Amino acid sequence: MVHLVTSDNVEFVVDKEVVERSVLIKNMLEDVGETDQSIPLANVSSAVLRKVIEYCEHHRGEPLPSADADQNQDETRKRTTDISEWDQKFITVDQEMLFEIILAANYLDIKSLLDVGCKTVANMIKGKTPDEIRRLFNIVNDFTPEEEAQIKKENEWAEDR
Amino acid sequence: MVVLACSEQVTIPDLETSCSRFPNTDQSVIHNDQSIHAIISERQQQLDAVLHEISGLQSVMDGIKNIHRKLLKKKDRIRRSMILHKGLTSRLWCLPTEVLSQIFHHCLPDHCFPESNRPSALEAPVLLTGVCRRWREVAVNTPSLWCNVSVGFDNLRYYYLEELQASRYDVWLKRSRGHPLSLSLVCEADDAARLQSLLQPYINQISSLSIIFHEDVVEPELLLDDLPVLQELTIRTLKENRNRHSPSIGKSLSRLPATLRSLKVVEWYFNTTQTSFGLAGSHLTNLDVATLLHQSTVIHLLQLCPNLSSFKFCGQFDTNETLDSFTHTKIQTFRVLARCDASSYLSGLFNALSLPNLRVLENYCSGSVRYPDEELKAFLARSKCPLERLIFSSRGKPTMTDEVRAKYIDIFPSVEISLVEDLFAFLYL
Repeated sequence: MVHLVTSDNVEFVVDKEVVERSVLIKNMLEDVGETDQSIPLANVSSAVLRKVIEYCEHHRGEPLPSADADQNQDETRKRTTDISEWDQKFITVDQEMLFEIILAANYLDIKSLLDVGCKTVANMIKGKTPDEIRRLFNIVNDFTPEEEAQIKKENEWAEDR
Repeated sequence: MVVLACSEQVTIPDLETSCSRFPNTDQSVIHNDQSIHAIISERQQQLDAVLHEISGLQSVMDGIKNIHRKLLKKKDRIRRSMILHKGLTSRLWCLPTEVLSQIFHHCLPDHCFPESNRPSALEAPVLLTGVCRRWREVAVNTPSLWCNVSVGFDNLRYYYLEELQASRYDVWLKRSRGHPLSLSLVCEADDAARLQSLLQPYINQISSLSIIFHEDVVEPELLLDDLPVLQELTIRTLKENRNRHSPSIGKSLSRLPATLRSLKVVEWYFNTTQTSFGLAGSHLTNLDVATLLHQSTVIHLLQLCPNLSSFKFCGQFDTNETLDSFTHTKIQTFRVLARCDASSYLSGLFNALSLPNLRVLENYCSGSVRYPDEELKAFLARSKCPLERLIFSSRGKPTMTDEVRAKYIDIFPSVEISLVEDLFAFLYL
């Protein structure tokens, strides 16, 4: 079992097989060897780690993507936004938690979880106008009027007329 | 305040004199020159004084204008800072650039047909450049977002629109910054020269190319003759008449670069005439052609491409040919799509061919004619290949009797036999 301590100082005791879905933790454990010492995760809160562990538990035993395979499948993986039913249900959370999960998956190096998060955000973006996207994610339009005119000119493809 | 203070201090002097009351009378009778000169001198002094005051006021006004300009600048900066900090409340700002870039990749449209991948302001990556400054910066600086595009000038009525479109394509392609490009071109009439001119700076990047040639295209070879790093090429020709072919395209096929690994030619009645100049096939590993009118062309193409590992063709044969036997040692995947009644004419091909490295064999039959099972079994037995999958597909769900299945199992005990309803093959046909 592996002891993990979150940014808000909560300790989690997790099965090694589960936690090793994180390449970061897997490498740490390989470097340190067998130890009872807790691993501090300064960038992950307990609420987020709970979700991450839930994901890793569900996908326990599934093969981890190798670096080579990842490179080969990169294009295909990036182009598809299909998400399995369980993953879809898992990632149905509020926006703040969604981005926290993505940040945690990136920090902990859990590629498949990062993928699910990124695909979910991409699916939210697809089919929307820039205005709708700004409203959805609370993004402020920080273009100057001149920049906006330039972008409009640049993006007026003939097909859109 | 300053202006008001000034206006309060301005008093209009009384400029009336005995002379000015009756200006049109004979002044020499009333006044002498001396008194008039004294008045003029006094006015000059008054004028100098007021000009001095005006000049002072102008300086004050310039100062005020300057302060106004500075205040406007200050207001803009405060507003911009406020906008920036408001934006920071979005959790998206916390995502590192590489994660945002990954999200953007998932936003790219997943078109079934590459030629429909036309740039659109309503789709990524163009859409992403118009949301905010950071998204624009990330999108524009992620070259892989700009490596895949369909280029065409059709449906544009005016020359200036074509010019505009070309400049926008150029902006798009520049953003790929040397990364390998995967392009789809739609080429009709005299588009070839225009497309060649647009793509010329990028020829060392084009690794994958899909071209639709319309029947009226002029000089199609312009797009095929200078592609030094091309790896995949798909040519689709829109021709109705089976007796017509494009000799210029045929010639280009012999000049394709040695880097080419995959060649697909669709909707083109392919016969040996097209490859009479040869085929840059010695390095090809994948060949996919439609439509072959003669079984001998199959053998001919196999001879031209000794390193093929995958060969797919659509046969439209209407006679059985007697062919010399031929062995190809590299083919691992062999897909035969027999059109209409052509499947009954495959026996000549199966009788001639040996594929000792064959692992996957797919037979698609669009007609209802008997498939040459006996010849197929003899071909497989003769090839002594490590066959892993045997696929029978058709527009409707194919059937196979237990007896026929058992015979295949007899030859290859571990072979996986699949019966597939293949709608895509139907579309291809």
